[in-house]
Amino acid sequence: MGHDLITIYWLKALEYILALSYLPLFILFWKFASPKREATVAVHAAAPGWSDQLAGYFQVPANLFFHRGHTWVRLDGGDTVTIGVSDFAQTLVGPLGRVQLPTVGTSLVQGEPALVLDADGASVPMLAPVDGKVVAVNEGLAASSDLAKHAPYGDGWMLKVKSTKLASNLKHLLPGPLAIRWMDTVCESLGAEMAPMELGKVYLDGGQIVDGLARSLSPEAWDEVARRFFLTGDGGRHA
Amino acid sequence: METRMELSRRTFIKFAGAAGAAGVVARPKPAAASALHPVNTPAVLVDTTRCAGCRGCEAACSESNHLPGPALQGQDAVFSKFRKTDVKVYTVVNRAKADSKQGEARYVKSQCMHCLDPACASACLAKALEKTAAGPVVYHPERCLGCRYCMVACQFDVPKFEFDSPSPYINKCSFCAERQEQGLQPACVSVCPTGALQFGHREELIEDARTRIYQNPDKYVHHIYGESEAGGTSWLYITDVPFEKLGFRTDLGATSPPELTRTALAAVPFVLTLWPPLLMGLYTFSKRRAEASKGTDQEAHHD
Amino acid sequence: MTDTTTFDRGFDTRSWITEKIFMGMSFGDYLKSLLTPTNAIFALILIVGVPIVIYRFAFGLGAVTNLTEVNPWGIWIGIDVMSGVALAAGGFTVATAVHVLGLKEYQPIVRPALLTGFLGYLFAVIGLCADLGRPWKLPVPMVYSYGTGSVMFEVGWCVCLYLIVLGLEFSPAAFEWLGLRKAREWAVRMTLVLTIFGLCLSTLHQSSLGALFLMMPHRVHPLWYSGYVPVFFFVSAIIAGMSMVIVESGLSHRVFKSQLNPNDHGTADKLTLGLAKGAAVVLFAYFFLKLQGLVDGDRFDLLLTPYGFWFLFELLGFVLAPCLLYAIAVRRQNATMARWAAGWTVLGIVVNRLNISVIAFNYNAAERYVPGFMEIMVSVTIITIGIITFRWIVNRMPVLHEHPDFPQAH
Repeated sequence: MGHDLITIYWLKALEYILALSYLPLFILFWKFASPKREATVAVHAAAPGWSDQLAGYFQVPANLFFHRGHTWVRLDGGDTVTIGVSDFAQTLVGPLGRVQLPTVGTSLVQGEPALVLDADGASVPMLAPVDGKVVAVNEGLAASSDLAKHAPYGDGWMLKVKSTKLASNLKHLLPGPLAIRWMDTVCESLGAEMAPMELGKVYLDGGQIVDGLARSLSPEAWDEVARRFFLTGDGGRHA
Repeated sequence: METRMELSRRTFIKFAGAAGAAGVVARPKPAAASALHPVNTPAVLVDTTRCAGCRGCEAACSESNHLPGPALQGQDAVFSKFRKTDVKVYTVVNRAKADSKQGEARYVKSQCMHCLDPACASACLAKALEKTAAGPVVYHPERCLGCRYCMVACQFDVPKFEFDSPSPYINKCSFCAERQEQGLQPACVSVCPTGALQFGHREELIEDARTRIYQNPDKYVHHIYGESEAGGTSWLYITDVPFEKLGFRTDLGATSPPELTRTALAAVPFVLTLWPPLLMGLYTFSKRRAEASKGTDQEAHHD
Repeated sequence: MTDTTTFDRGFDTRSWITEKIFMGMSFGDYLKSLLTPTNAIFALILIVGVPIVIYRFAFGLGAVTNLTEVNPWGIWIGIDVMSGVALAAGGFTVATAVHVLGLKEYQPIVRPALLTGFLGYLFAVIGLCADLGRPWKLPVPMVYSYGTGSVMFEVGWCVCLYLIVLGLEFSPAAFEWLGLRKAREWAVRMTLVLTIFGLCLSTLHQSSLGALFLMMPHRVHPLWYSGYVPVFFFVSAIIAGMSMVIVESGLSHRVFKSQLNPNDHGTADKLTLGLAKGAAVVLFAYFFLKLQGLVDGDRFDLLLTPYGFWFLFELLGFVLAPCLLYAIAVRRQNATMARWAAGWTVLGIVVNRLNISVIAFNYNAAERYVPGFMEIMVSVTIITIGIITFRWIVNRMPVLHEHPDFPQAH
């Protein structure tokens, strides 16, 4: 073997070279094996109507995160975030009558009910996606309840919150690209739950999701259906 | 001033002396390759130039150990195949694959080499194979699990296993440990008619072998097999045909196999000692970070 | 439902069995629920395999295996013991991540990982008992005859202790299932200590399984033989553990869909990608470690032999390639790609363990070992029983979901 005094020199040199070149390569590899910070994400073609509804947001901004209770968070820089309700949630509930928002100064806890959607006489609570204190409320919603529906991720925002535990909160949220896939899965499993002939209740002819889906599934207890999806069905103890 | 300096010098010397003494005491003695000093350990010198292939050693061995008698006794046909030891055949005599330069047949006796630092005894997790202080490596069947680690560890492929038994043992030559305790020679050596097998102290036998080689440089291969192979064995061989022709592996190093595992085993106490504080440190660090972020939140909630 | 009368008012055996063992079904219904195609395959394996196991114990190793005095170790060591222990390393990896490093977002996969670990080790030990000539002598080195100079002694003790540690770490789930609140609290309190002790034991025995081969430079091919083999085994065990957790999580989410909230899939994807990044980074380091081992061995001449090509194939195809696939999967946030990379890595670990214990082992022997059908069936049977046990436990105990009475603190 090469452990005599003659060949050891070039062997050891080779070991050092290997070790030293590994160090910068490791840094480069770490950077390579990190999620891309690009703005565009390709949504796979089988999306049943989602791409249409998120058409304006086909390019999901990299700073949009989703809570499993279907509320979303946008990072506005610093500690402040904007919170809203996802497209899917609104489609499930149907046309909104009123939105009960917490007052400025209220403290929110991630996973605890934060706001309430009123529609058709019933109330559907939604969970807060982050911890923090409410610093602003979207007054525009009072004027036009359609605002939330037409621009759920833009002008239809619900709250602005100053979050104190953003870093740890984000760990429990889904970033945009993953959330798209997750919402597809939820939708697919919903479709699969219905008997095949009842798919008409889920999808319109054009492939879009029926507005007010919860109601068409269960006219009497549509808010229970919604609660199941928003994780508020059993009291809402979810992060 | 001076007194202080003197005192400190004295103290320094005191401490240096103590440290030096501690260093001397604390430095571990280089570990002996075996419990036994290799000079006096019992050994056997096998001179294959003297072996006539009578297989009296096989017969004596099987009789002394209450084993079935050697196969094909008295028949030359037994040499047509290269035989190996077995669970009930502790030693075999084979014919070498080459004849001597004078055209004489050469025979070689194989058995356990009773290494100075045996792989099998080190490998055995139940101490079923044990290197005794007297020298022989003996087998305690009642402790054996049948894991066969000894078989793969042995560089001479000595231990053999009863594959066709539901309660299998291994077994091998025991160097007649019980006979040696009574001051007798091993059975095989005691019946060898030609003096091919010679029993004695290892260092003396090596001297003897070296003398023979020195006195007959053209005859013998200039190597004593077992002197350094696998860290040294108790059974030593000299021959006048190449050792590969006798069926010996010539690619074995001089490091004893247990020596190769020394570092790995030494790591055990280190891991058990260092990992807990390391992990507790990581735990405390991560807990503190979590509490820090929770703390700012609590501050915010207090107004 | 059932009309029961008991002499002890507190405990009703019949309904307890119905609820806990038969998952609320009557015995007849339960039996009917077992008639699935998967179970048919399992039954077939068991019908063929169990008699072979009995045959092995009745007639010895030679009757069932192709092991000989030249090749005393085969796939029962290579796959059941070596690969089994390596792939069960997910237990200590995830437990350390959550309880020591504080990565609480991985909490949902701690229990499945611990269960995979516990069953992995349990069935590795069972596989070992099939391989041992005299398994009833196992207490000997445990109780009174300590071969302390042996690496295998250390492996045996560490595996035994670690099995107990894993059992205790998993016990809260079992206690929750049984409704034993006090026992569950007691078990939970030991978590940190068990995790640390478990990591110590895992480091030791994972590396020592490799150290077993240190004594055998005369048998292991020089390209695989190295003084660093214990380090290689430990690092690759971490990789194997993380990959196996990804694979198990992916399969469980498909098989046990009914236990899961549709929202859980998103979490599973996120955690899969987190583990994938860890696996990618460690694989990268492991690749360079293997290169260092190659330099240290200084047998570059052997790289151009058939064994050399096989070594390069293992290194490039089963270490570097899955490493890159993992990295790309994380980069693209594609959890499915990560799962494929995980499966590939698991295969690579098995190949590596098989290489050092069977394929590149006794490479220069006159007769080479090839496993026989019965040998393979025994391994398959043992693994199948392990899978069935996993399924039995997950169907009943709060492993993939929380027990409603015992909400996990976040």
